[in-house]
Amino acid sequence: MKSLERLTLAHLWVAFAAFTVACFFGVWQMWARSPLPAPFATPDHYFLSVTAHGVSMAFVLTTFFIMGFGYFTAETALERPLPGKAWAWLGFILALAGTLMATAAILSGRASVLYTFYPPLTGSPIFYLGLVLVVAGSWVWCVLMIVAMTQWKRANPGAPVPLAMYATVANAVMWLWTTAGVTAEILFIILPASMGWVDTVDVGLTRTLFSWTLHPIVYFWLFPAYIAFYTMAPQAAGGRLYSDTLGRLSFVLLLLYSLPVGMHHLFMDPEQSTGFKFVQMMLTILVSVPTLLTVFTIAASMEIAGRLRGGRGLFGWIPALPWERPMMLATGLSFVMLFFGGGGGLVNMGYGLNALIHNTSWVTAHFHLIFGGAVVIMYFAIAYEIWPRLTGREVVSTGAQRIQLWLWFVGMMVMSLPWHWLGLQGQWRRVAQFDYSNPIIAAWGPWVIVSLVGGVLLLASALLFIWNLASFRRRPFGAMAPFRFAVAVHPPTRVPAALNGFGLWNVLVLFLMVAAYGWPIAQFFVLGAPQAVVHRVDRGG
Amino acid sequence: MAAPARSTDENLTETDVDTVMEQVPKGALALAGTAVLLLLIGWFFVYFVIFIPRGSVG
Amino acid sequence: MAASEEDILRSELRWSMVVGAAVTLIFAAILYAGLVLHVNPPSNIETIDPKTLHLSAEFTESNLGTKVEAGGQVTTRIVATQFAFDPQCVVVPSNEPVTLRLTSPDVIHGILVTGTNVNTMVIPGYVSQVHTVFTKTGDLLMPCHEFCGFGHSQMWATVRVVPRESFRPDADGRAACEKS
Repeated sequence: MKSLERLTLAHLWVAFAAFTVACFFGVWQMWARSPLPAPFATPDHYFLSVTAHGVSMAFVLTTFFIMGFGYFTAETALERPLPGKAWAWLGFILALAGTLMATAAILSGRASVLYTFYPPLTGSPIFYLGLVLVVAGSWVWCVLMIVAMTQWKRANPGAPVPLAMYATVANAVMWLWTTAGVTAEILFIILPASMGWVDTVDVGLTRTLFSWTLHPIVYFWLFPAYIAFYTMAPQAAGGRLYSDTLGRLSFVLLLLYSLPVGMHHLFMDPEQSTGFKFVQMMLTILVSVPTLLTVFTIAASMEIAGRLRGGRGLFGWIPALPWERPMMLATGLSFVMLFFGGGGGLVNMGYGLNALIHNTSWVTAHFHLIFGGAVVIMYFAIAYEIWPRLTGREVVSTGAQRIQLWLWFVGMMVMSLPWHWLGLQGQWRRVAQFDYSNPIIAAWGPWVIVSLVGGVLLLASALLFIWNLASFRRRPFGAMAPFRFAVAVHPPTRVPAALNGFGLWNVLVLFLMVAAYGWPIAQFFVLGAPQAVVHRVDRGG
Repeated sequence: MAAPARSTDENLTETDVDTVMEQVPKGALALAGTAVLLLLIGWFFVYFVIFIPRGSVG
Repeated sequence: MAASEEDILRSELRWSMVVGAAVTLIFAAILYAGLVLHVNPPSNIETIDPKTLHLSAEFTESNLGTKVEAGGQVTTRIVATQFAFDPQCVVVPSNEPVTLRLTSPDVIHGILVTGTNVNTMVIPGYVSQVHTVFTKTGDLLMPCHEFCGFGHSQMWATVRVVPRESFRPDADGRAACEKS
């Protein structure tokens, strides 16, 4: 089993290293935007920092964590060695090489185009090629996840695929669909512009292709958190998973409805029509359903655990839960942040309501709270949960882990709640320096500083997280018991083929994508579209 | 793996779970239901108090 | 009595009906806002060549800003460039339908007007159009809200909403900030 540990640890350390560096950039950014004087505060430094922070958090932390956790799950949930380990290492090297390339381009100031790239703003080709390599490495992971599950099913005909693996493969399938948009955008439009082969780009088509990726990618990030909710939290709480079937159904619904909804990022765009914006809004409402189902199923699972520990009454089971366990604590804190972040998201998707908050700090608040908060806190909890396995060391006390999790929660709330308010006041995004002499903007100053304090707490939490992981080195080696995932109240002996595979769902996804994105993309080719001139940011453009 | 309280989990019997399942999911319904209700109140607050008064656009 | 898998699934079904009711309520509210209250995302698809904007009939320098058209419609035309709006101040009447039309010859920009639902992206190759009615008078902030390059932070304009009675366009139907 040693080689799996090395593979997983390699991925997780890259993820957490990028994460820690990104936290420093994030705090500096908030300082630079605040009324307080900050060092190096120039626009080119600011946008370099935003690009570095965004790429690290959105592409590196996430992809490497998901890959590493996926490899771990494949071996432990399926109880057989991961197939194709050499390929897995190749995927890791590709992704790492790509990360280093993109980092070099960003730090040299030749790729300050933000993690969402804003063609016709164009940076160095090294940046885009680097990101393509990261995606290529992740595709290796996707294939290996599918192969692992397929081989297991052949060796165990008719048996239900363990939920943790079924969900992991759902994520892999979803990622393959997801990356089609941004890969096409980079390979066919941005790279040719970046290499100087063309000097105009179709901005409408580029934005539409990017939107294809932009929504499902956040569900790609979210899957590990939900996998932990369903397959680790009930175990940590000392109870049972309320319904294995609902788990499968929720992951399938996330696969189906996170893909054809990217246009809700384009509500304010003039290149798409009311009709398709409306259709994708309706589909976005549907993607909220699996989350609302999950909230109930996990609450019921926790209720089982709480009542087993003697909790009585309608809510008495809540304090009875073993909150001293990090996985339990993280789950509770995650749900609180999910409430606020999800609520904000329901405003964002509200079609006309989007005009209220588009490109304001409300959006920044939303995704920091839901991703940085609800999802990443579960990444911490998963790391704490599997680190003993990965390192072979015992956990002696979890006090420092709990402090770190609380610090993350408080920091995230203090940082992001004021941003909601500021967004409604009209505070807009991606600003290196505000003119605080303007009375409207001056009123925002105190809240910007409150937000900054939240960010500092987050940085402290991030450093404590790394310290907690590193301190496993000083622990004694422990006898390893097999890693146990949560057990359902009624563990399934058979599940319908539809909830044990993805054939049917892939067909439905294809249908949904053609319906939701077919014409919105085709229109640029059929009707022709005006081209905009490429602006090179790596040449002072 | 973790804190000492783990040992009680090892002694879980089906009878324990069955007894508890007579109450579940009342508590979950209460918690999730309250959460969804608060969510709707918050959403409609933004809708009626902030969004609508800011005027029509199209 | 033990809870069977059927009992569990039945409770999940009951919960999904609660979820269904909640999202239907939200959907109904969105529909109402769109159809009855006329709050919709601006989605007028209209293309224009960004390379020859200054030569176009509509977005030449002399035609920018607020103009009352022949039929009485108040139209405000603004060009967004790196890193300023042209004009940097526009004047509009309150309680009167106003149409904003924006475009860009270079990169992606975007605007919002503080305190209102006016919000749109400005994409080179397209004309963004927003119909609205301003109710509050005063100077409103109209920043560029989308990253457009290093000068993005300094890019904003003013929307001066004057009471209907004080809105006095000249003989050509034009109104600008210095005058009104």
